[in-house]
Amino acid sequence: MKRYKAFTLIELLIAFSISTILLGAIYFFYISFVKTGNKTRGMAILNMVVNNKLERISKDLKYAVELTALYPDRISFKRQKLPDGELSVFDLESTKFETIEYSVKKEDGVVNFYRQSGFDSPEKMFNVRQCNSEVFRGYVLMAEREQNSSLKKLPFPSFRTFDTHSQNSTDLARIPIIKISMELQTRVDKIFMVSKVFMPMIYSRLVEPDWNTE
Amino acid sequence: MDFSLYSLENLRTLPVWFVSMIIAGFSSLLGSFINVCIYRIPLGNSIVYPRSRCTTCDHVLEVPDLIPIFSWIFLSGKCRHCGAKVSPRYACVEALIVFVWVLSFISFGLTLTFLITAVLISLFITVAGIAIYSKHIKKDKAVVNDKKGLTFIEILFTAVILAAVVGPFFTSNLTDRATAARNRERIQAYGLAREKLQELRCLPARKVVSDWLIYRGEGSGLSKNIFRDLIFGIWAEMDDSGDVFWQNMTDVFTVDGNCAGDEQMPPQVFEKFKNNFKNYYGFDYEPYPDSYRMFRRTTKVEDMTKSDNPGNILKRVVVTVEIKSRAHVNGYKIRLATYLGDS
Repeated sequence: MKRYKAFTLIELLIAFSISTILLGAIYFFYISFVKTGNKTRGMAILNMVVNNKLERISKDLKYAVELTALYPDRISFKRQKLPDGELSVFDLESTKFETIEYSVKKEDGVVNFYRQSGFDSPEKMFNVRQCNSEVFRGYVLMAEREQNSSLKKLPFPSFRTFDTHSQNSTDLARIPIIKISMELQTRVDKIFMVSKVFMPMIYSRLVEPDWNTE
Repeated sequence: MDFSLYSLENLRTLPVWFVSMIIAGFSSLLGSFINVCIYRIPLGNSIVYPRSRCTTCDHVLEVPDLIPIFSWIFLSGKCRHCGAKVSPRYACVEALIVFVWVLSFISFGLTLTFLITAVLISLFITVAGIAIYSKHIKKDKAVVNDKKGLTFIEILFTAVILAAVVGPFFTSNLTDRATAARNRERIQAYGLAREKLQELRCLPARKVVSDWLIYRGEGSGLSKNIFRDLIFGIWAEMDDSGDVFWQNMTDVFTVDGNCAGDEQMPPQVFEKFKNNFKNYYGFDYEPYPDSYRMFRRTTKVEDMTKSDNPGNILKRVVVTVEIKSRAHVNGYKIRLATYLGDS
């Protein structure tokens, strides 16, 4: 009898099943690598966005001399115009001002953050899937302070939350500190970030002795 | 996936040199075992059963001959019974293993990375040793291998190569992810520290005091702890001891007064804390979301006012945010410092 050299059916079946299992395992690992990679990249990008933008907003607010509007999702203020290339020098003599506006708008299912400077068209900073409704919250230095001529005689200053519905202009002028909270959600990730920004120029004007008797 | 070895938490508090000694001891025993593997596996002998013998006179080795590294040095590389030369390979392999384990402990700490690195390198040394040594075996000592199939060495080789190929994918993915998580927590902590500094700038510098004084209610408009008879534990001890306070206090609470370290502030004390906060900073206390429970924030104030000019007040404020979470198992501290002045 002639023997043909060939694979038997069972050998083939075993080879197939082993290679299927191997391929399945490789596919599973590959998918999980890609998933972790995406997640990691999403996290890194969101971290960067939150860090950079918060830094930028607080740098702008640091030179604010007057708030013009404060809504939970929008803040606009007059800021001392800085000479190009010099970002951190207070020039008290300068009379050049510019208006900056930060706003959060929900458009087409994504939330966009805009920054508008002067009359330029709004510049898109970044976008996320979801964002909390109250990003900016102002604190009003309480009016009792005005009755005293000097801040130093008072034990401690007192603040109350700015009422964004009424947009009371007297209150608006008395906001020296703003809380920024961002609860951002992208397709892959979530972050919650809380911080406060203090505006030294507005505060020093508010607590200047006898400023309201002039 | 959470690979942090929580059970080793207590070991981590021991000094590094002490843990290094322990690891050196155990790894020298491992080195001794690896020597056995290198010698016996190429010969095809069992690595467990016959006790260690002198290769020349077949005398069973006793305790003084079996102390890793030291035995070889003190017996000046000779057998105690027949005086035959013992190869320095034994001591070298043991020393190499000890070196690898201690070095990777020092660079990685007591983590899973340390364990994986050390084990993989030891395995590699074993395989390399077997490969090198099997070339020098005399033909008559070796058992002729006429069986089909994979030898133990071949399987080991394959495993090591596989581990070397696949391992980096795992670690790079996981470490990237952990780095991103750590990064995020540090950004959040930085935000918290900055928030505190900005709040303090709203206060006249002469009024700025340390957290401890606010907690104890020392200052105008602050209430003292009137619940001292009702509460026990750290929240009561904090009143008396600055050390306990700085180790445990935080001003990051969730709505129910939960804070870092799974502690909960007793409700009465939390109420008092919120009142004092309001009176001192001027803001209503706004609780943080649940995810902020990994942060512990304290503010220390140091008076730098010069005694010859008490009118010009200068204070150094240090805000410390400590992170303790899954991504920061050993804890991480961010310190922001600034000077506040009044004239």
